[in-house]
Formats: sequence, structure tokens, C-alpha cells
Amino acid sequence: MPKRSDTILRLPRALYDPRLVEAAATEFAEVAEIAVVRRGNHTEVAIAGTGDGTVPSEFANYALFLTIQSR
Amino acid sequence: MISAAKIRYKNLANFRFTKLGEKYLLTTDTGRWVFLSEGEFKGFLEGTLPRKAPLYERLVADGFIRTKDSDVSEQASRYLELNASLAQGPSLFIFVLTLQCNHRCLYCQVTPEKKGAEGFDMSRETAKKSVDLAFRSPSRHIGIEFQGGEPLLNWSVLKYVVKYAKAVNKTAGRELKISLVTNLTLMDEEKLAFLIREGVSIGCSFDGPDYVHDRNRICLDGKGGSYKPVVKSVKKVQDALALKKLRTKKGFVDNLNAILTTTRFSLPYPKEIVDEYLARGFDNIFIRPLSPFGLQRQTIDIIGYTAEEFIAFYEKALDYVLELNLAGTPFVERNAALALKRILKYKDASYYEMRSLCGAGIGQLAFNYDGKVYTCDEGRMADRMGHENFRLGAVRSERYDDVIDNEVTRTMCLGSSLDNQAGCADCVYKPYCGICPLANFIEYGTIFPQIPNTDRHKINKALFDYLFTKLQDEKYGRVFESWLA
Amino acid sequence: MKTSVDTKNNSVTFSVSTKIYPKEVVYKACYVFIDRMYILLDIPGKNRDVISVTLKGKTTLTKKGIGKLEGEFMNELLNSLVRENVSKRNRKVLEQIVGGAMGAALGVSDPNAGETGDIFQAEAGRDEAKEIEAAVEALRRELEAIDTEDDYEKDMLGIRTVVAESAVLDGADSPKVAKPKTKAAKQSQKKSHAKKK
Repeated sequence: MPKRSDTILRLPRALYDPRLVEAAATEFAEVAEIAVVRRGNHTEVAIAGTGDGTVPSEFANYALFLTIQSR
Repeated sequence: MISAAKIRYKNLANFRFTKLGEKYLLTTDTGRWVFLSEGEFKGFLEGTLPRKAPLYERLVADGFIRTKDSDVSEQASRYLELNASLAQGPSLFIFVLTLQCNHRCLYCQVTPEKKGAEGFDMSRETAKKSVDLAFRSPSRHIGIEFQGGEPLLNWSVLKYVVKYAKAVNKTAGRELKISLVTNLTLMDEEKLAFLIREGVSIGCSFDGPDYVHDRNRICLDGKGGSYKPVVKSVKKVQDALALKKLRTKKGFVDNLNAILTTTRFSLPYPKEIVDEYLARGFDNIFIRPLSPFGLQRQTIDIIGYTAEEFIAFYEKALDYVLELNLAGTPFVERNAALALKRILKYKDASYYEMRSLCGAGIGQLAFNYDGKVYTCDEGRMADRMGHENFRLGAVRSERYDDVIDNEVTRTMCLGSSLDNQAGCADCVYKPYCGICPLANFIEYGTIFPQIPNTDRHKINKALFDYLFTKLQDEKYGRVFESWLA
Repeated sequence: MKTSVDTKNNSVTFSVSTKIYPKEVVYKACYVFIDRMYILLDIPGKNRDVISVTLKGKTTLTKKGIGKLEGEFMNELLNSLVRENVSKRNRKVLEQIVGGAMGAALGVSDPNAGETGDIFQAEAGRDEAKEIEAAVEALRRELEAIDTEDDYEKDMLGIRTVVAESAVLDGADSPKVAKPKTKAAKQSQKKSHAKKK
């Protein structure tokens, strides 16, 4: 169950490659607790205890970068 | 205001563009470039430029506009001229004669061993096999470059390689060039006489005034920095070369050249460093930033800086160099000159760091003291740091074909192709730029990093922005042309 | 979807139609900004032709500064559209140019190339290769018989004399070349220097 200080990112599968979102989560595991779930047309990424930090934004950027790079 | 709906793509050849200042800079794959005002750029895109105007004719001639008479084979020739070294096979062979060194420079890329350490010298047998492998390259040009540690600490093998390579070349008939990279502190009359007589080009590191040089380059004999012995040796070498030039009627006699490795200690002194080079009789300087190999990883907190700090330093140094040139003192910054060869002459500068694909495995090879073969000098440095991914094999056991036609080489080609890097493929500077996948791997853990975030991208972009901005002023264009004369 | 500036979040959100700017073009534009902004893409409604773009500054921006992000991005979007279309339309011609260049180069790069134009020499015997190897082996034996230790003594260019400690080039038409000093001469010079002091 996500806590209040968690961030949930909903990344559309049409825009963020789900496999690469999972790859990004593996890399970010050192800095945050991340859970990835495929839900319908989105990949949901729960980043634990991040509050107002920059980790969610950095993660989203990295997932986007990997998607762009893969093309 | 440019409207997407009005763009006529039919007659637009392949070009890349960016806005630089108030104008648009456009480049083609063959290295041609042009500055257009906003109105001219709009006319170019919309196909409304007057057909008989000089600008239209220039854009056709340079390959920006496609007509029914456009000649693909001419474009192919131009492309080949800009990228000639890609097709010739390896032509630079690094011979790591020893890992011993009498210095501990703070930025040393090598992670050297102390002078006297055993088991770190190239043997004659390994040297012979390395020369044999080098001459199996199809390239017309064979360049042998002695590196270390300090190569003069394996003097007997150095001499052997020079003699043997020349003997082999009597039959092979290539353009053979042999060069030595040395810290100069172990240069004596005997060694200098041999090198001068055999036509071995000499290059050294020189970091400027003593208060900079001595902080970076430390002798292991307990006497501190190496400024004094280096300056003494610089004079000896230059005097000897001057005499050789006087006595040489035919043929080229290379100058003693020096490289500046920029550290945090250098940053406040761009002008002073250039002045020191002039005072020591150099007519050129090669300014390079730190690279992420060797001892630098341990000393980065002391000597490191941001890309922005290096760029500020470099631009100040270049500004001063240009000022000197305009005042009548010829002086070249070689890093810029290599880029300018591509920009102004549309010719390949054979500088593997600014080439797509880089030279790893296909332009250069490195033969380590122990007989292992690497994609490049940085490859053997990476192995010293524990990354053996860039090893191609060993001179004892490998056939030439297996060394070159190797998945490591292919990976390096993929990692250094600008067409494979998001952002680079569309970049206006693509015809002139390059990537080091090894440096990316060491620094960022991948050969496909976020290019816009890498220091090397920022530095390269700043260099090209600087050069092209200056090229809009004819007086700087004339200085740059003089560097390439 | 209207542009929405969120000063609390330091971000701006606006929409882009993929009918005008295809997804690849949006990606290209994103890539240009990815180092200095945080970017989040979404498909906000059922219409999959509309992408919402949220740009967030990495440093705190004024409301005006946040608003400018959209303009910068849209400019880059147009640039990326031009690049994508130019590149697509010229891909085949570029392949011809590069292929033509490399093909021409491979045909002339190796003076010893065989009929197939193979740029790598085969290991297995060609008579010419064997002759070269035999000649090199003969040269190597000749070389090893040479004593390289006395090269310095030959000093054919007179370099040894130039680099002696007291050699000075006066920059005139012909350089003065100092003769190597004998021990006695050096001692005499030391005495002379001491007197001057």
C-alpha cells in the first residue's frame, strides 16, 4: 500500500517503453524503493518516501531517455 | 516566422541546422556549412530563394539544395575526403614500452609503476610481433607512437622497434612515421642523438609556468615538480632540431610539440600558460581537458572542475591566442586546428577523438608491454583500472583478421557512431565531431550515455560554437586559415 | 487542453498534437531539453493524438520563466519536425553517398588487395607474401647482427656536440657549434667563472 509520502508515476505505455521503465527501476533501486506494475495502458511506478525530492522527476527523465535512446 | 506548412522538402538535401546568435548555421554530411539570416533560412525552406542569386547557386553547389542535376558521385567523393581515414584501416599503433615511470603526475591516465619495478617492460620478442602485426594493416600510413609510463625507461626496445620497423618498411614501402611521447626528464645526449638521427618525432607534456607545472607533474626522486629539468630538456631538443633543419635539404623535420593537460591549478592562468609556451620557443599548444582514466579517478577532488569551468578557461586561452595572431605572433591551438581542418578544408584530420566512427580498433591499436592488444591507448588504460572489456587479444596468438574482425571492435564502432546516439544524429556539428565510447563507459558506466549531459558533449559543442561564431568575422577566418597553411 | 502554469511545482503543462508533430518529433524535442528540465509525457484523454507535455525547471524559476519553457519547447518542436522530415526524405540518397564513398575507398585502400578486394590479407600462402616474409627475415637477421650500442659514437649529424652543456646557438647565419669540453677545459672554465664573481 503506497504511503502518503510516496510518489506514483503513471507512464503511458505508448510513450514510455515498459521494459525500459523496469530497467530504469532496477538502476534506481540503489537510491529509492521502487515498485513497478503494469496496469492497463500505463506502467505505474511507486517511489517510496520521496516527499518533495527530485527522485521521481529524475526517474521519469531517465525512463524517457532510455525510451528515446532505444529508438 | 517559419511555417511548417510552407516548407518544400522536395528540393532540400540532407542538412542539419541550429540558431547561433542571430543567424542560422547549416551543415551538410560532406562538411559544407553556411550562415543564413532568418529571412534567407525561411526562403531556403520554402523554396522561394531567387534562382539566379549567388546564395541559391552556392546552396546548390554545396549540396544544401537538390536539383535534377545534383551529382551523387560528387557528394560521395566529398564525403570520402572528409572521412578518408575511415576507409584506410588502422594507421596508428601505440607501443606501450613500459609502465615504469619516474613521475607521479596527478592526472596520469596510466596508473604507472615506480621506476625500477620489474615485469612491466615490453620484450624484444613482443615488440617484433607487434611491428609485424602493425604492418599487416592495409593502410598506406603506419604511425608508431611510443607511450608508457615513461618510454625512455625501456630504451633498448625503443631502439629495436625503430630499427626493425624501418627494416620491415624497406619492403613494405609505407609512409612510416615514428613518434615518442615522453616527460623529457630522462633525455640525455645519447638518446637525443639517436632520436634526431632516426627522425623520431618527440612530444612532451608541459603545463605552463612552474607554479602550475610543478603542482601537476611531480618527480619521484623527491625533488618536487619537474619544471626545471623539463625546461632544460626542451631547450636541448629544440636546439638539436634547429640544427637538423639547417642541415636537412629535403624532407620534413618535425618540431618538438607539447600538450597541456588542464587541471584546477591551470584555470586561473590561461594567458600565463600561453605566454610560458611562447617563452619556451613553442609556436603551438594543445589544450586538453582531463580524461577519466588512471590516477585522475583518485585525484579528481583536487584537480577536477566542471565542463563549464574548463570551457571558460579554454575560451580565454583561445581569445588570447587569437589576439596574439592578430598582433603578428603566429601561434596555433592544435585542438582547434584539428577541428578547423574539417571545417575549412573539408578534409579528414585523422584525429580519432573527433571522428564518427572513432579509431578504436579500426584506426588505431595499442600493443601493451605484456603483448596484449587493445582497441586503443585508452583501452589498455581501462584494463589497468580493472575493465578488460576492450582487449582484442594478444600479439603472440592472434591473426590480424581476428584482432580486427572482433566483437569488441564492432561494439566500439556502434558506440562511437554519431548516427547511433540520440541527439548526435541531428546535431549541426555532426560532420566535425566525435565520441569516445571508452571514456563514456568509464565515466558513465555505458557506451550510450545521455549525450547532452556529458562533459565531453558540452566541451565539444562549446568549441564548435566558438569557432563558428568567430568564423563570422573575416579577420578570424584569416587567422584560422593560416593555421592550416 | 490549455496551457497550465504551476508555480508551486515550478512547471508548465501544455498539449501537442501528434497529427502535426509525430511522436518521434516530440521525442527529438524532449531529448534537446532533457539535461536541463524534467519532462513528463502523458496521454490525458481518450484522444491518443494528443500528448500532454509537462516541463519542470531543475532550478526554481519565476512565473515568466516557467511560461517561457513552453515557447522554447514549441520552437524546438518545429526544428525537430524539419530535421525529421529532411532526414526521412534524404535517407536513401545519403546511403548512396556513404556507400559510394566507402566502396570507392575499399577499392583503392590496399595496394596488396586480392581480386576480391578483401582488405585483410589472408594468412594462407600467397607467393608474394612469402617473398616479402623471406626478405624481412633476412633483414631481421642482418639487423640483429648490427651492434646498435655504438650508434651514439657515430654521431653523424653532430648532435652530441650541439647538446653539450655549453653549446649555444646564436641565431645567426650559421650556428656556433661548441666542441665537447675536456676535463681540463671544464676546470679552467670553473676557475674563470669564480674570478668574475
